Amino acid sequence: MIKALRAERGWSQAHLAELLDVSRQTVISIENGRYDPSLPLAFKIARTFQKPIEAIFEDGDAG
Amino acid sequence: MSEGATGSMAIRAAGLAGPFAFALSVVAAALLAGAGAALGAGLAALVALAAFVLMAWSMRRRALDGRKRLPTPERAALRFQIFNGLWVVAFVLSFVFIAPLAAETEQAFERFAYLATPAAALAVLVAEFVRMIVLSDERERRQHVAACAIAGGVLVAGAAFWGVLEAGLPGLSSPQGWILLPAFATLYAPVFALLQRGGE
Repeated sequence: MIKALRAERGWSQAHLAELLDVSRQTVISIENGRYDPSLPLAFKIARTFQKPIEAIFEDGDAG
Repeated sequence: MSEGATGSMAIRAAGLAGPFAFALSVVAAALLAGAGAALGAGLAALVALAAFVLMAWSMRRRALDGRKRLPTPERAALRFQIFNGLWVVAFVLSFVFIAPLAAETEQAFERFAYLATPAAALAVLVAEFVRMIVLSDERERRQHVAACAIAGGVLVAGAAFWGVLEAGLPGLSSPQGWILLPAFATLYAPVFALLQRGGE
């Protein structure tokens, strides 16, 4: 989802990392689903994309 | 050849040559100082300084990778990568050349100053390491803390096993306490690299 939102805006991973003040590797890990961000970082990502948090992250365990 | 390609080659060349030139000139400066050749030691130290600047420039340019500035965690990691070597060199040189002078003096203040020099280099190195962890992002901080815990745990267990061996084998000598930090770094680095490869 983040990858798609980033592509929509024409942002690079490096640019998103700068906006979130995290390393580029962290952006890559979140996009690949290898890392689940904390709630504060998830909210920051949602604010950056101007979307509600539930529009970006979904509960993988929900049936 | 384009200007960008030439610049990229220069950065790569500086990245390869810088560390070698730095290490060689530091060793040369130490050997020349030990032999009492002050001028030669001074010149080698200047070459070491120039090599360090070249190395730092190359590392920064590679990290930037076309960006104007780095996010805080990457900036902190880069600073540690650049200065870590410098503080290790400061510690080793002051430990080898300055600390032994403490045994040759009767003056308490002088003795303290000789011993405080390597201790200060060590303290700065530790402070820089902590600073890098504090400024890293949440994912990296988790990896740093996990690597510290694993390396520290292995080191404590190893020291305890050594103590058991020492108790049973009277001829076995205890390693000096300062060895703990390089031992920790040797354990920490591969664990951190493995955690980084794992992604989370």
